[in-house]
Amino acid sequence: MGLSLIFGVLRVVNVAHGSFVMLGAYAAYFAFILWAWPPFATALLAFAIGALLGYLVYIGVIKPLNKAGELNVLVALFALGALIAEIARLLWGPDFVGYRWNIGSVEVAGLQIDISKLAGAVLALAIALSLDLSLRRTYFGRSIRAVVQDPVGAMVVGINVDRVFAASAAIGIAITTVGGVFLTLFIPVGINPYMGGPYTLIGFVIAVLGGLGSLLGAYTAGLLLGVIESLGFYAFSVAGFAEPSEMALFLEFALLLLVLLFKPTGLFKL
Amino acid sequence: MRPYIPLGAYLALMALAFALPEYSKQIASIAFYMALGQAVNIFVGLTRYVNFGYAAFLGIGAYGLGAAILYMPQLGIATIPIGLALGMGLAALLALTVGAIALRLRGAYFAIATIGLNEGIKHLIIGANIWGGGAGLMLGSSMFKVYGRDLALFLANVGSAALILLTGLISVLAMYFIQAGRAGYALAAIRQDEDAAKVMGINPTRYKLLAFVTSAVLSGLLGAAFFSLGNMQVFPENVFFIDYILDGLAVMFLGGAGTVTGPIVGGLIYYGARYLVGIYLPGLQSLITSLIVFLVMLFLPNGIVGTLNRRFEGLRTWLP
Repeated sequence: MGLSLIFGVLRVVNVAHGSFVMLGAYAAYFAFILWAWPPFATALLAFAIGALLGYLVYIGVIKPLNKAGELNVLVALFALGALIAEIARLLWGPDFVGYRWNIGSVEVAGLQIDISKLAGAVLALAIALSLDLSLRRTYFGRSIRAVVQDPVGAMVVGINVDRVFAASAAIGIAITTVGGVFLTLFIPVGINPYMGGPYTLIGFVIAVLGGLGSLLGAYTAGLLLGVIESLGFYAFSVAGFAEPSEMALFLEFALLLLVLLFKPTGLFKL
Repeated sequence: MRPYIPLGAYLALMALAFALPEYSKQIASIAFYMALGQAVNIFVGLTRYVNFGYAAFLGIGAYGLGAAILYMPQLGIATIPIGLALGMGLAALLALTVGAIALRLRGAYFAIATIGLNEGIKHLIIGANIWGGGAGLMLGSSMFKVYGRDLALFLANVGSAALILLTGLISVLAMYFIQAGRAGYALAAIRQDEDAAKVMGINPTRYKLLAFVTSAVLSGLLGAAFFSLGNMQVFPENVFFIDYILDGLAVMFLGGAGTVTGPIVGGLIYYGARYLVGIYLPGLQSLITSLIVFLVMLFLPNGIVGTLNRRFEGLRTWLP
């Protein structure tokens, strides 16, 4: 969703996406280990950190380079993503870490589901809805949509386009970081400086599937992709592949190419 | 534009590799960065489209040669040309498939399609257990058996360095001829305004695909020379390593994107920087690489050669 917002408004693809997911995951981990913060409290902190970083990225990278062309922004962001991962490795070591936040589980239709996971999913939906609502209803949301439609026109009617861009970058990266916090609820031991790579890929598949720039589309596509991934994993293990989880990741890449081939505007945009 | 200086640089390094075989590993490393930068340059520099999936072509090329050496030992020394052809063919096929789909799209979407390329192919090889899967291909014993010990070692040291240098030489020629010919003008027009170029009757997809496939084939050759021949092993985690993408971009942007001489200058400086970092700050190479790319993008977007050419008028003739 963060990816979609940034692309939708700024027309910039955040190729450093995975590294911000990683930062969020580490924030959740340290807050839990050191101060025993529940991940939902960390989410607020992560939002603040992400917003600050997003603002800095906009001021330091996107704004000065946007004139020079798309290529320069993309390469700089890509390098920035790798830089963040390397710094993380330097600070926190290359090992996998993780934690488990156990607050019981409920039984739904014979399946044991952890409350923490359920709450994570519900909260993610709540964020998607509130973001969509604020884009539609608030003054600021309307100014964002005006800038999307026509930056020059928006400037003419007195909207501070620069501020809208900066805010979108900040909110987009903040949401990405919060996404990293929620992610830790689903991967008990999988936090690592280089964990971002696959999530960049997954993020792009979701964003393209839902239609770049569409927020609820991104959420729906995320659900859809989760289902496809599980089904793929099952199908590949039945078919007797050695590493079904690796094949599932390949499937995501193939899916990305197919969507780009047949419906580059996304499945949910008419 | 006269390509003598870049060509001369490669010929000099080649002579050096044969004259001092004990340093061939170092020369091969320098040449690897130079050739990688040049291969990246042919696509990224000429089209201004960014490809984050470069390592996939290196890897596919390495697997082509590796598979030929391992699975066709009865062919003897002929495995090398066959394997190289196989690697380049696979790289071309992959580039054609991805390019035909993604190059019809504009910059941002293309970048998205390539960002998964590297991971996608790696996961396919590990997941479907093709060519040894996650365990990789070990070529050492097979090469000793087929070629004999002395020849195998010669191939791994001097042969690999010479082949990498040859790849670099071909890339310089390819870059020079593409730029000087009809395709160069078409690509320049596309770079400036793709819609206008289309109106003028240029087929943008065709020329972008030409640059993409050329650069992919050269990367495949480079991967085969560096990994299969030079290291005598192909590991998926090694050949599909994301750092090579940054390496290539670092070399190209440091020297100057879209210039023929740029990657050579960039490769020399970049290798020197990595070497020094390796001695004084071991383990920080990747950090420095991303820092170099980031800083160059922010403060020297035209690169060294590009900036020099802008500053001094007549220089472009000699440093194209």
